[in-house]
Amino acid sequence: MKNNSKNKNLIKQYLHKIFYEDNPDDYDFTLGETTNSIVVNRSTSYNQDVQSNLTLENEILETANTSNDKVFQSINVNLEYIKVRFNSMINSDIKIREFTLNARNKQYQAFLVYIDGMTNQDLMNNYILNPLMLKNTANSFDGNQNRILSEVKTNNITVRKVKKFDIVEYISNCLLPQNTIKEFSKFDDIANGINSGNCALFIDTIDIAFDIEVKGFQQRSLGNPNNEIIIRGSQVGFTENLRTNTSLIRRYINNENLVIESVEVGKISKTSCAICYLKNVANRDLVAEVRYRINNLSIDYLISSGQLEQLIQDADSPSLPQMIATERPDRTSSLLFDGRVAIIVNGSPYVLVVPAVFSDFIASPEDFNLRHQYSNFMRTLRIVALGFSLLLPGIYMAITNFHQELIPTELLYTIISARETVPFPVLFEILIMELSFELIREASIRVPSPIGSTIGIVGALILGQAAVDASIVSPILIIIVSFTAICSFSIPDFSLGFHFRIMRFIYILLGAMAGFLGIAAGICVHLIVLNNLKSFGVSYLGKSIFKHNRAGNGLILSPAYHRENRSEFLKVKRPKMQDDISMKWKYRQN
Amino acid sequence: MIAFSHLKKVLIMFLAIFIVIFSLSAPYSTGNIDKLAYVIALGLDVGDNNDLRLSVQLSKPENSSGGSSGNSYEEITNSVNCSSIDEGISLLNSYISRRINLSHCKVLVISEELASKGISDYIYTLFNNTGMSAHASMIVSKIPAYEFLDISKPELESLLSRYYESSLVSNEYTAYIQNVSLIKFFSDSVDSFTQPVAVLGSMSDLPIQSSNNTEKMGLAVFRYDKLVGELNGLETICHMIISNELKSCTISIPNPLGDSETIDLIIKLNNNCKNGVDIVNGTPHISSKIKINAKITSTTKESTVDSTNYYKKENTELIESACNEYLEKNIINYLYKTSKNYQSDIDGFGKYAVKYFYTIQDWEEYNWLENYHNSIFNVDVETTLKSGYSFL
Amino acid sequence: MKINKLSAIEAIALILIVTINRLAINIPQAILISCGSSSILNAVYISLITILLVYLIVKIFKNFPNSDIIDVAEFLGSKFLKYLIGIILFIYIVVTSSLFLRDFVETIHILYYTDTPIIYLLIFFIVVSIIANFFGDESIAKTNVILCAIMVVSLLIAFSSVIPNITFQRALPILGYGTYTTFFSGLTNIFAFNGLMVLFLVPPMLNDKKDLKKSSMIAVFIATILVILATASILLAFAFSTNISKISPLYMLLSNNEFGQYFQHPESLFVFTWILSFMSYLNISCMLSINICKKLARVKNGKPFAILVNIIILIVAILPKNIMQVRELGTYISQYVGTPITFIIFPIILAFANLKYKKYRTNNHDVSKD
Repeated sequence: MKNNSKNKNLIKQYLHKIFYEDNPDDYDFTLGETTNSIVVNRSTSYNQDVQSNLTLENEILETANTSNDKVFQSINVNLEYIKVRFNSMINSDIKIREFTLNARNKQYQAFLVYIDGMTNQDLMNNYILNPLMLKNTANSFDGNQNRILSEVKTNNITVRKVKKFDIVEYISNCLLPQNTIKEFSKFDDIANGINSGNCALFIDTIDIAFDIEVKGFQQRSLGNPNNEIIIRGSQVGFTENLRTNTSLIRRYINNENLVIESVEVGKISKTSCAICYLKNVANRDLVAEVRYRINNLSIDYLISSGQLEQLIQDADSPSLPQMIATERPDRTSSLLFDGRVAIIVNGSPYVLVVPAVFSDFIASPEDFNLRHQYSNFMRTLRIVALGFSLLLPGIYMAITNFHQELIPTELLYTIISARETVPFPVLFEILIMELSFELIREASIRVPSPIGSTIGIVGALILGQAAVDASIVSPILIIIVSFTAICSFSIPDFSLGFHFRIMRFIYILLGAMAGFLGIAAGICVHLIVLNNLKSFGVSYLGKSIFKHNRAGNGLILSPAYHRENRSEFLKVKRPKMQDDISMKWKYRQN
Repeated sequence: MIAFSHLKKVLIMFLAIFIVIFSLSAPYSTGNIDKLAYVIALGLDVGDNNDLRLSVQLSKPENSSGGSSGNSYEEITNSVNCSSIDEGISLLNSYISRRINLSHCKVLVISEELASKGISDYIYTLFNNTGMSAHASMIVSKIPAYEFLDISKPELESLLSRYYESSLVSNEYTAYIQNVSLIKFFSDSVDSFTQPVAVLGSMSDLPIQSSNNTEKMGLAVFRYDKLVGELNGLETICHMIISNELKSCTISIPNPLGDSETIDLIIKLNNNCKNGVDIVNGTPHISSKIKINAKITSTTKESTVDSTNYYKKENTELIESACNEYLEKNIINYLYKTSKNYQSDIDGFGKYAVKYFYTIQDWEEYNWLENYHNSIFNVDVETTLKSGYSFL
Repeated sequence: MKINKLSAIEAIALILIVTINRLAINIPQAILISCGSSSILNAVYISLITILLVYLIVKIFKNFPNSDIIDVAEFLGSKFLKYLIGIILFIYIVVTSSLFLRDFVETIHILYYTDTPIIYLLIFFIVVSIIANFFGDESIAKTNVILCAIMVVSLLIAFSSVIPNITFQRALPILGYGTYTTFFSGLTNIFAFNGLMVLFLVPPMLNDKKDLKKSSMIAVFIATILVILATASILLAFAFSTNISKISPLYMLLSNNEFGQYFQHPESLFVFTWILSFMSYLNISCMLSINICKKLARVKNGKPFAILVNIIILIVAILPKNIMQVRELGTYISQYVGTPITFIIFPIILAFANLKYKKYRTNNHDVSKD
């Protein structure tokens, strides 16, 4: 009997193990709909209940609109408000320092609010708390310190008009030896200030608060621009802080006509951006257009300039870069001198310069430093590399499939004998090799640095060689693919290189479909798309690229003493950059 | 749900790309590079029953695995009896494992027998074929074309096509042949100013030879499209001089100074020959003024001695006049040979005669090519001795 | 709607490409077969006449700035003439471009793509044309500048490659088949310049109305030089040019070049440039047809017409059975419809309009033009 029950228990156990239900205590977490979002029916036509028309929208909260909240006179109310608004009970780095302020022998309650880590402790201690809390000559009062406005003496009675004591004015003018102080009465402005690293001073019986500049957060020091390496030129690059970047530009331009407008983007992040231009050179409409586009973005947050670039560019589908993104202040300055507009985003070391035309992406940052012969030589090389990186595999496909008579006979036999043992048709070979090359490229960026360099050697050499030895691909294809890759690396602009990498696949397919006819169709459509593109009102592939223009940014650069005009397409206010004879020491006019 | 419409777009795009990729393996490109057999040389013979015998010569690479350099090649010759060129190519396609492609054909060999019967049909067919390379050199061989192709093996090269290309370029320094391409042959055969020629090939008859090989020496003379005769090496040199095709060549003239039998000279044309045609009573009187630069290459021990020194003024004049005589004699012989024996104007004197006629109808009525055999020639050669080699 | 304003260079390229795109295929052949060895003389003769006619046309156009032939027809004969001319022009442009398209596609089908069906090749051209016309006139005109320059350069290289083989005596006998054939019946060879019909449609598209004279004269000049060079090089290089009619004489010209021992058979590269220029020509024809439709139907947005016109072109291009029919039809339409329209009827309309304009001016009437 006991055995039976024991067996039954065992059976039950085994059955339970086989057919068990899910343990209800298993940890499971899925994200459900929040209570803050609502479903909106966007259908405009007849079927009201088609599912595809429903979209999620942010619920407009019925909570308090904080834009009209002003500072209260009572300090306790202010303190409560700040604690609630900044969640200081939960936030570990919001600090509130309450103290007693001495002014004119009177004592006021006051408190400071700041974010730990973003402020400079020394500044706050020595220049805010010290003068306000300790007794010093500015603090103490004797009757002679009233400021006399006017004095009238009649019959031994002097009537003095005395300036009424205004504590606000007193504190900001006499007590706080700090270089930037703003007085705010709205809580929104104060909150913005605190968020960006300032500290706010609240004083009892006063209905404004002081926003004091004490920023002192850690940031990267000025370093080399990592991705735009040149041989001869300045080696300093932008950092993530907006103020540092603008100071770098100011140093190059050195002129009071440089205007740096400040703009905030993003409803929640309120990222500060700056629009820079030379007031007496840049076209007014261009600046207005830039301002218009940036001010009319309704997004929640903005993190980097790459995101901003995608939001304000003209057309998305051609996948071509329509703005120059540069890390170098000298390049930015020379572009600003040309009449363009620069956009700096706080938190991103890349500065966007608009407008941009096609020939800007072929230029390296060094073209202005070197002699024009070297620059032109390098530009010609780059243009040839551009053509190869786009078309070489496609033309190889077209020739081997349809136009074999173009190949010299000896090369033909080399190709045939190399392809004897390869099982795949040419198209698959090329696609396999191109895909593996792209994978190697991507892997070498993502891999952790100790083994980073080995990926290049492993991937390119050994994989390629092994693939040839294993007869998966033919050796001439390795040469073509690696030559194409080298050509695509020599394109100075990263985005343009990417664009060509994608287009290359399309050309390979076209070449395999119809030989030279397909490639011609591809080139025709590509040219039409390029010609249709406009970057901030300037046509992308305008005719100015062909002219040997005297502005230094056509396809061919003119010598430095010949760059008399600014770019014609920018329609600047000041068209001439140099006199006709700029080297007055050489050609003296008698 | 909301993203589904976007997903649909992406799906359709991928589907389209897949369809495109897989439709590429459809037979729209049967001409894949490794599915073709590239013919290097084409040969035409008279076959059995007076039909055509078509031969093709292919080159097969023997590759070592891994595609390393240093391939060796093997030549394959196939031949078939057929009634026309295209039928022959179809028959060969069924025999050879790949499809025949003529776009790299370097040489077209026609046997003597076939050429005497007239080859205009074959030339027109080949020229009409867009796949046939128009650069192919024309060779008329005295042995059957099949044998000619069989014994053509590259000695100093590894690739057959390079062998053909190099051996036919020898006319630039020997002038024993003229490299005539298919398009030039075709153009000449329909031309009313001139008649076509082709390279004459045969088996080499040098006594000491390890392997048989072909020799290309001389020209085959055609009249319209039939072979009527041949020229030997010296006559070819004369032809090249008269038709302004000479680059440079070596001749041996009898030595007027007596220190040796012959003097060797390298001659080049100074200017273009001035050829002129006068039509008197319907008979062409052809005159030709030739200016030649010569360079002495042979020397003997006596030639350094004063009396027989080649470079003294009197001796130079003697040598020059000897050269003039020699060339004049040979050129006149050659011209009368082509005119009287072959009745074929291969030098193209017709273009100097055409200026007397104002319309094409008149010119065709006169019919220059038929009147050529009545011509009377007058040749004047002027040699200038330019230099020698290191002895002076 | 984008306002399509062409600059001078774009106008030159527009007129040039419509005129010379057939050069690579067929035009010199017609001159050679009909005139024999006097082709060069004939070519020079018709070039001079064309230049003169173009000069006169441009002069007549001076009184009607910014209006093309349809507006002039409306001015002359009110709506009836406007619609008549518009419809004739539309049909002519559509039919000739589809016949040319079929001709060109047949040529490259014979040369390279023997196994692919014709419609597969036609679709490439039509799809490119549809995409181009969706993007608008400005980008078509700008692309055309680049492609036209490529075409002209490749033609010049093709001509210069044959220089070593030239025999000048092939131009003799100087009068060819006789004076009558060279100068009188040879006058019909002026159909080589039928593409100049586009000159009547160009004026409203120009940025600056003074450009019309300059750009049309330059374009005609370059076109005539190219025609003369083409005829000369084909005639002087080979002896069979005048007896045998080939599918593309210029292609034959290229197969004789001697660019070097290792760079053999570069004809495919030249055909590649011809394909590019032909695509540009097709884009422009569609653009002009769409502009005519827009004008006749008084429609602002031309995009729906793009697909319609291209499908009509595709259908007309599929209709003929084989290339012989295409050539025959093409020659017939060029010689008996195109040449009279371009060189006789339109100038007459312009001349009458000019008379009417002068009459109005002398009567001090206020003439309002579109």
